[in-house]
Amino acid sequence: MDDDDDFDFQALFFEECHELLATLQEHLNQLNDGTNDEETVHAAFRAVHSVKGGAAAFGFDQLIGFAHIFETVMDLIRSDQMEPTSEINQILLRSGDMMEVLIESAQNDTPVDEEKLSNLQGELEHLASGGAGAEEVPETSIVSAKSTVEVFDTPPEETTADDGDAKPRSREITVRFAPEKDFFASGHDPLRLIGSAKALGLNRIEVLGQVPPLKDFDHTACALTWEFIFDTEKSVEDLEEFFEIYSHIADIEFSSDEQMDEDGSPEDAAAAPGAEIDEIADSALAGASDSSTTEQKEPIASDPKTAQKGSPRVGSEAAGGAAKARSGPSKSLRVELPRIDRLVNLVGEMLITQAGIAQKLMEIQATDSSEDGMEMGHNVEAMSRQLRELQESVMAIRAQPVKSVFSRMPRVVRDLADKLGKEARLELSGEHTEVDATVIEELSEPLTHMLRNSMDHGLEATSEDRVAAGKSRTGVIKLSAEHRGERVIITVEDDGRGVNRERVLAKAIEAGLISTEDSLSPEEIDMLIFHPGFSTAAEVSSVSGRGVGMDVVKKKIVSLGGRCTLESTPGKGTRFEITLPLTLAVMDGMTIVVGDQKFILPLSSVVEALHIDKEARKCLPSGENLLERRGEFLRLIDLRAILSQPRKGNEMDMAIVVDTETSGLVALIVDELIGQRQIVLKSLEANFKRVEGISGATILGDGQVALILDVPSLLSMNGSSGSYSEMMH
Amino acid sequence: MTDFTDVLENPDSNTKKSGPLKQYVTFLVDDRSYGVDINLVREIKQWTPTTTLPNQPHYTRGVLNLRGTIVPVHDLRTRFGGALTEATEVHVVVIVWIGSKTVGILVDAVSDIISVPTDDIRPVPSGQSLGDMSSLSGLVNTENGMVALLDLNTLFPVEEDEL
Repeated sequence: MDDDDDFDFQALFFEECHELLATLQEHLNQLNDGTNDEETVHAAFRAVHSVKGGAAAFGFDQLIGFAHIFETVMDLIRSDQMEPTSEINQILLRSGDMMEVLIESAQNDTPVDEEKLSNLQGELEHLASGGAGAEEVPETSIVSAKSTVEVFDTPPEETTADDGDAKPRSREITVRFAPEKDFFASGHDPLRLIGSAKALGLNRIEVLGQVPPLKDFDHTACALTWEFIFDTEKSVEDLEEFFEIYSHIADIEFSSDEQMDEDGSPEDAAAAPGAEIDEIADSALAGASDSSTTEQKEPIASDPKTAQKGSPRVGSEAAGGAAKARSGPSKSLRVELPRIDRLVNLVGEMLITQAGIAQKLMEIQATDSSEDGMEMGHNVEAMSRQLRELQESVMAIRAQPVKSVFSRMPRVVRDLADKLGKEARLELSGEHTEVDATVIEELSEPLTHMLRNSMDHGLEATSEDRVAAGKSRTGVIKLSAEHRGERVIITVEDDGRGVNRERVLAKAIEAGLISTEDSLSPEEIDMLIFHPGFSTAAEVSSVSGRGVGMDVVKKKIVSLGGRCTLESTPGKGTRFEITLPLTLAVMDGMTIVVGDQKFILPLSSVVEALHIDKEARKCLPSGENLLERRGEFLRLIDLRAILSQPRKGNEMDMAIVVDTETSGLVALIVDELIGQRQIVLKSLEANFKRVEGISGATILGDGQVALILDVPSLLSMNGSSGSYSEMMH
Repeated sequence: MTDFTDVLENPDSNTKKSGPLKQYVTFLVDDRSYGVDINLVREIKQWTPTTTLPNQPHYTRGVLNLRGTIVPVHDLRTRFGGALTEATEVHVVVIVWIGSKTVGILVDAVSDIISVPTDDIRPVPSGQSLGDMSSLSGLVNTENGMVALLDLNTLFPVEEDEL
């Protein structure tokens, strides 16, 4: 598993490299076009430097060596010790290309033209050794530039020669997997098997076997046999181990393409020339210089075994190999976010339209129960399923690992540690948990607040205090993310002193949030820190910043449709857990009618719907309405008043109990409850501004806009946000 | 859009040609003419009932669905101190750009597109007795009477997004 993690980081590094190289190329081109401003040079330098740094971490020696000398030259230009003449620019541009080849090589084990590399490296060294000498270089460098550029224009895997057998060769292992009849019955899922096999280098799957005619078809029996073709560095034994758990329920055969291995010619290399001979020929016709084409053809000719092997191999396989080699660089595609957003929006539109059609159809079916109607109903239903799937796929494009937010946090902790004079270490886990980009954007702020809180209040004031408490000097804060169902859970956990309940209690009493008679459970005391009006921050230090308390964190999380809980053990530490929806583009909502408009309540906050009994309605002397619910009193809020909607005459008897998270449960009077459905979130801010009490809007099946209620902020609008003691009873 | 075609299409502007031409969409509220730079007009839409928003200025009629985006609609009559427009199907919402935002303006009717040489745009007279005229960017005399050109940014200020 460690290997896997390492591999993931490598993949990330390569992705970053491609980005950095794109920047590098852009800036080098600008330089070449005569833009010689400081920023351009600096940016190019930084790109090379970053690649070098990353390469060093993974020990790609060839890349490091080249990047180093490249960097040195860039540095000379950066510090104005060298004038980027057009000759030098040419060398730089080619060096940029060479970087790409080297990264490619590190990533896919594609061969590198050693000669070109050492020539270019020599030129760079020449430049680095003395700017004055640069004047002599031009002639030769231009000539060689011509011959090399053509080589670089062709995909790197076509460039020549041995790349040394330093890395373990991947081999092809075929696993024939014939599940027995009760494979499904014992709860196995081929899809899951394939999913985990991917990590072992599963390359292709061939489906064998036949599905019997429909009348004999037994859906509980697995009729298929699969052939999994691995392209892996792992041994047959490794795979046997992997398949071990299936051994009693499936017939598994292993066969390895060891011969390939002995040949020492990687499958990619063997396959690629075979499939791409045409292309090479084309490029030769296109007038590539003689030297470069001969070089390209050489490997095919010089290694007859490979050539022979290449052609008799099943065509599809060779093509597969070539496709794989070629698809190497574009395994991930950089797409501008607005394009994806547009896609997400369009799918959202379709869902709305579909809902409209379904609704209309239901109305029609209510009066006309013809067969056509039924058939159309099935079609609409099928479309709805497909749309959901489409939506999920589109959302998956926008999913991002939380890493992009998490990676900013160690710095936050470092800065705070300096400021507070505490020793602390941040441990990250689950950074690869994927969440919709819309959520990622919103995460940074609450997370920063939570970390500040943990640093400032969670950890002991000094390292000595920690040692005295029998803990290590350095405080540990753990930040982790994981999926749980349709939600993502993010926890911030410190090993500090825990919530100081006496102090919290004292402060809450002082602030009038509770009275001295209230006897609160430890958990209830802990939860007080989320209460608006309870901010230790402003008073204790400037670090927890801007006088913002945990109530703001909670508010933010709730407004995103999430929850926020706290668990604290005195002396041991505090653990915050926030639960968020995976996406902010869609959510489950409860449609209600208030006055003459429809509104949406986030389903995550709805506790239950109630019928209001006359007897259950109580009135406080202050005029506040209460509703008795199973012996408990809830604030009863008339939404019509808050939302300035007209009263519909008749006395309403429907209430929805919602959890406001910040101020307990409240009951909202509504005119009608329509039901729950998934809604597509639309922003009011995009063309208007934030409206108090409203978290957003959606478009209903009939094209009308419905507002999504933000209950906590609705309550504060009401002007009578009840005190905590009121809510406790 | 060259000046040449404009001149052809608007022969009257030929006679008193002075300065480059600008085009305005004019519309009526209480029989008074207002104009908005044509480049700021996105489209013109028949009135449809809006979804009202809580706690907004009187003139904000709510929001409507413009092909999937939520657009606020402001009542121009109310904005100028009049009563709420009793909007019907004959009323019109002019969808305009204000900064980066799309906003709808409820008016009685759209009347014309006029081409005006910039030199013919007269400043709005200032003076305390006239009240706040900052929401107008200029006045133009046409055959059909005076058109008050609106300064949308002042009339319906929008909060630009940060960043």
